[in-house]
Amino acid sequence: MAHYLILESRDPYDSGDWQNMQQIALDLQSRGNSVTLFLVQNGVIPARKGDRHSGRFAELKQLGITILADDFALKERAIESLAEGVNSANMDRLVELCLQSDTKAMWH
Amino acid sequence: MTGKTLALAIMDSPYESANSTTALRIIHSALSQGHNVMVFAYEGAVNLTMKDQKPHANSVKGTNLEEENHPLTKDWIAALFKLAEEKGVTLDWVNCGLCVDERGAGNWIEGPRRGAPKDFLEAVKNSDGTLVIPTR
Repeated sequence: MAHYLILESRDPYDSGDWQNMQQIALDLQSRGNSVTLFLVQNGVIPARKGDRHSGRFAELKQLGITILADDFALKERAIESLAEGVNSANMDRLVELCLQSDTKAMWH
Repeated sequence: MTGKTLALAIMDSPYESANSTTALRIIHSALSQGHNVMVFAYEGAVNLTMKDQKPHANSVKGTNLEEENHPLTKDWIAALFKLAEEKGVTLDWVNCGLCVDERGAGNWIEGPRRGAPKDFLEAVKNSDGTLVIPTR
């Protein structure tokens, strides 16, 4: 079992692949891996509370996927209220996750 | 220092993508935490360390050179080398040689070295974590 760290830099309004990455996260999780979805750059946009896609994060969280959002990217975009299931995190946490044993990092 | 080693590949040219800023923030965080970092700058990313970068005024905003305080990636990266030295860790910045030659980007700041993709392969084998930040 591995830990997959998926860095999502894109948002659903810009990238048709956004949903595909969510499916990859789910598939990895369902195969017994642990998955962290780390939102960076425009990837934090759907994490705004009330965003039409924000409910997706609650579903992922319920299935055991950890969802973190870069605090710097949130501040840049004036996002203060986060969707259910999403927690703010900093770069230090991202580096810790990258260096965690058995972690496979994927950037999208 | 008993830090770990992070291998990072970057490809974006300066001033074109938020990827560059994010990559530099990741490197800053890793070094600050006492980890070694190997950076493989590929394709346009070899321009990040070019010595000839110059700040400029902004006539649209009406700011002069000092007021604009335009950030230069070469200065940010020079600061990362300084941070690594202060922390007693290694920042091994490798500019892809062929990418450098293609772009005439060989005049860079003190710190980076010339290399090839095999350097990244070796770094991945010897690192505790790897992250590749591709262009879109």
